[in-house]
Amino acid sequence: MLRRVFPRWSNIGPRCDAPRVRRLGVGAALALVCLLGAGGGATAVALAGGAAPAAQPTYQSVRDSQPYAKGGSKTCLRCHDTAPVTDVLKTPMGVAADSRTPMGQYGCESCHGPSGDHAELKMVDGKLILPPILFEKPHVAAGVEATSVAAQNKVCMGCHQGDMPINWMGSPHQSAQLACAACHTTHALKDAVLVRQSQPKVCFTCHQDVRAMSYEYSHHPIREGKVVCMDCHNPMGGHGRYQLKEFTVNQTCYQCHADKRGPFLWEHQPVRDNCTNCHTPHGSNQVRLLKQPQNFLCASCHSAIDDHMGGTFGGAGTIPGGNQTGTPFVSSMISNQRACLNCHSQIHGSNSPAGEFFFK
Amino acid sequence: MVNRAKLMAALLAATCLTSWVAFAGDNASSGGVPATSSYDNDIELGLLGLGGTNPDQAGRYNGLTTRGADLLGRFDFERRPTGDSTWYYDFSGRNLAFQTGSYLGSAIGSDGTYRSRTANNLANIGSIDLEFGRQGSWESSLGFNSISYTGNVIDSLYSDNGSHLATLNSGLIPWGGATAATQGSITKNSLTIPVLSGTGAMQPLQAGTRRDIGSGNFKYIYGHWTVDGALRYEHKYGSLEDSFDGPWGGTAFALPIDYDTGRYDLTAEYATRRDQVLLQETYSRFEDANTYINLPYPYSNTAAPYQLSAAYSTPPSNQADYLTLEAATNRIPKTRVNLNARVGLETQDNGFPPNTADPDPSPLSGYGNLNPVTLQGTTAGSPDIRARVYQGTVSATSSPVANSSLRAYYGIDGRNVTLNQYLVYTGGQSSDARLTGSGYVIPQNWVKQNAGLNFGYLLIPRYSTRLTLGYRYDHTGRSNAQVGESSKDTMTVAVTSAMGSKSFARLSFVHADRTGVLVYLLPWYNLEQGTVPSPVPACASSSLNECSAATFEAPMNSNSVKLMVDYMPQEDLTTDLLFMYERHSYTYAAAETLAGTGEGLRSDYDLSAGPDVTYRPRQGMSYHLYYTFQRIFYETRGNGACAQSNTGSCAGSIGYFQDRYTSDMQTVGFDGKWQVTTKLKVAAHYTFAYGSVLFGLYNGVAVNTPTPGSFYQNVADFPQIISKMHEARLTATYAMRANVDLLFGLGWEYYRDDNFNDTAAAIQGAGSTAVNFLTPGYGSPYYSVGYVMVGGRVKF
Repeated sequence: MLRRVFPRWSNIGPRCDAPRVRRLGVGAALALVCLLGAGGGATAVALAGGAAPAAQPTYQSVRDSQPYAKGGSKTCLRCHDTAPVTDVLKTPMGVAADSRTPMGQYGCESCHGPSGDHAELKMVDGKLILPPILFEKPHVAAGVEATSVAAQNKVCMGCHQGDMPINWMGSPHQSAQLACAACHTTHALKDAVLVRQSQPKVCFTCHQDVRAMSYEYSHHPIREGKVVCMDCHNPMGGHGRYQLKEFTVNQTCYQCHADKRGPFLWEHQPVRDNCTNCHTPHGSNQVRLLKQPQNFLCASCHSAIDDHMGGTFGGAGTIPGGNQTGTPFVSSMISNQRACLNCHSQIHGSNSPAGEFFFK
Repeated sequence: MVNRAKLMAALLAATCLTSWVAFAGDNASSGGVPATSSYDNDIELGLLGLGGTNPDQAGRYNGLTTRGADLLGRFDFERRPTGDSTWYYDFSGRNLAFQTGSYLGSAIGSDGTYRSRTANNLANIGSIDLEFGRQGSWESSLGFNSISYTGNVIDSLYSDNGSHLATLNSGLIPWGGATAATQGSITKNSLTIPVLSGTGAMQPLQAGTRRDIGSGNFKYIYGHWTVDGALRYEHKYGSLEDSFDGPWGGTAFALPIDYDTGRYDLTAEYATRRDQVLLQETYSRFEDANTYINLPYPYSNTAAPYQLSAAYSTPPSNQADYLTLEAATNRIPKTRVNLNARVGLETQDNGFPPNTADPDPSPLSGYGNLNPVTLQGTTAGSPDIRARVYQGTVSATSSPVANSSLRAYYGIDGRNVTLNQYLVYTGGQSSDARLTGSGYVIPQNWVKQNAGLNFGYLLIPRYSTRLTLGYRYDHTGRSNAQVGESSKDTMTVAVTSAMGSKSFARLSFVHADRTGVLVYLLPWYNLEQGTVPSPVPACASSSLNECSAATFEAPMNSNSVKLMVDYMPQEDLTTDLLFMYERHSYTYAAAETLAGTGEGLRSDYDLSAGPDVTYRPRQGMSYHLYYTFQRIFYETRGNGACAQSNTGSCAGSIGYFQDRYTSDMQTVGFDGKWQVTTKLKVAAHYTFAYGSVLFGLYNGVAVNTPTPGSFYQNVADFPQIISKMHEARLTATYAMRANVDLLFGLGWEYYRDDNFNDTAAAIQGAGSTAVNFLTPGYGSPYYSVGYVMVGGRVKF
């Protein structure tokens, strides 16, 4: 069974074979807390029989070198006994029988670090000693400074390095100094980013431009919960650009649109190269997630005279449905409905021997 | 980000993003169950009443497309491990809806039979998932998901006559009654508008599709090893609006969709604290039940040959096989090395559709005359195409000195397509000489490589001020391309910093240059000829006025700026500001001197900006308000050699054109949650999106008297298109008892835009006998629907 060894956040750090702090009984612990009061640090050491330190330790050094709490998670839960803190006990991370999980090892302190002094309400410089590792969100919202991103993520990466997070280091989110806890909520019955219906909203807190695009008329059913961000992206580091799950844009699209994969007898080169040459996957005011209306889009490459471009844009018959007396309907034909795709309908490629112009 | 407060977490815990169908999620039990609750299971049942205008458009993505009453359901049964046990299960169903009167589209099958409408009543938007196992030992899951899409109403010449046979409407007969040797009684010139309009030749069809997706997974964990097998199988059916080449434009029909896609993955992973290795085999198979669609035309040609069949090809069945390797190690101190690699084979050996003419019998198209058969197509039965693909990335990320990070990487992406070489003949009239001939089909292959360095340094640790510099080099080599080789340099500078104790900002700037020699070729030249002759025929002759530039290969430079600021003046208030701007400029140096030659896309940019505010004034109350402005702009120019004056080589009907396309989107949103009393919780949601699409067309040729048949004179801008969308929702949850909640919801959705509203009617030009069977494609959409829901939730 894989045994996870937790990272060392100090030179000493926790190890599975290190001697644990002798667990005091509850009563003795409470008495110790009452006795220690506000300036309990040095006193506690003296009571333990150790010599007083030669120099006054700093707040941070004390914080980072705490022993484990007597009683483990039970001690923590004496104070932190309400939701959402206790919700973690109902998640996979709270399964004590699985030795890979935090609850299967050092409990709350597996992630938050040894917090014995915190549990005993010890103080240094008039400040309550906090656990070594505090993650974002509730603590920051409460005005408590979070631990550095690197230290936070080191905890998570102690267990989660393979599978999806394997390419985390150097990924765009990691390079942007994003903490795991910025997106993930472990103290919740359901981590919102892992639930399809709520996942996009987590991503939209930063990717506001994508949120705006999801409200455009043509869009992947993202806000309907049928297609979500992680269907295409791996936010913990993808194989290629844009943190895509697959190695290329097209391979990602082919997961659901395998009818475009081909290979076709007659290929349309920009289609083979990259679907985003024509499409914008998050949303568009144009049909079929196109970047521009169809005749304008085609003109991006096919802009010469005989590419019907005059018929696409020119003349008095430009307005759909209208015509100039004596003129043929070339203009309206190309501007109306599906424009160029009225005729060149197999635009993704054709397997007909006579389909080189994608008519059929 | 450091110090970024995420008050959104309070809103997200029980937020459901989906449309109004699943509004119950606004007050879902997942975030609302108190820690002291012993309820692990819950069931929700509700009744939804829907009414309004065009509900089929409102429900095009969520599947609820009809007025009336619908039954909604959701459930969640789970057992988490307790004590010494690791057994668990989680059985859930979401968006389970039953509605009456919901049907998918209709289409025509390859054998000419007409697919009847497919009922879309049950679970058209729902999902059911079951996960179970022994955590840490083995885990398994099964799932079902369905996704429906309602398309447009089109008018077609074909309809269902009640016997599921495709027939031409209004007494129209295939090919106008023509035989192989004789002309039909109904010809293109004799089929007039009054005939079509008076007898109802066009009948409406509703397009739409549905995907039913089944998935399964089994994972086994043994020590450092994990073995995982997964499958995903999807059946997609229905129809989509499509069209085929016809006289003076396209003829619409409903393309039948009958697809089956299966994906199978087998993964083995070995992971320790220092090393992780993953090997995955992936097989994907796509099956299209239709190879072609037979579409008899309603009239015959006025001259031989007289076509008696017309096949429209559909996407061919295909398959792909990939072997993927992921590896990473931390063995080098302070360094992580990653390797990702994939090799694959994508193949397609579908039988060709029959050698027939285009569905359009007009001699002007000319491609693929039926007789003699040897003049078209190939004697081979299938293409036997194989695309060998390979991709890989290798990177090393390290911290060489304190407070720094360094990343070096290399990537490659290659494609090499082979197929049985055979001659493909193209037919055509003698006047269209270039189209008569033969050649080999040659696809495009490529090798794309990239390499780069990123260096980051913490300049001011106290403020987490960090500077990141990056450089990336890309090289692309293509066969059969206008730009055989191109290279691209990309430079990135980014600064992130806290600004005081209450704010954090990130500013980045990216500049890229892509160079290469663009050789103008006929668009299809490189697909048909055995070899590209040397010298390549230049696009200088007036007879070769079809040379355009492949924008995705052309030389280009781009600049982008991105700014994100987070400000938290107090612990219950967070404000974010976003600004993004990215611009590309393309150059086509050779086009300036080539009369008749197009340039293509000249520039485009993408702009997004707006604030986002989250406020929690007190416990049990939270608000979220945001505004986003987004603009997308494209500018294209064609026929570059011609000056603005209508003189010289540009006299008469030729002139250069320039089009500008601007699309704006403004979105305002509000979300609020209130715990009104200990029993009553209320949530509100509102989004307003305002879009405007501007078309600017310019043609340099302005004449007093337009030349009949002129294409480039006196071009007028398309009118501006405005769109508005409102989405409002109010939900309430009342706790009748500790384990029973009453649910109530109200909602309204509205969308309107003034896009061209093409009416269904064949069009015939004044003084012309040509008939255009244009039918509505994406006409002006509009919907306004309201709904009310009542329901209950029981927890146990």
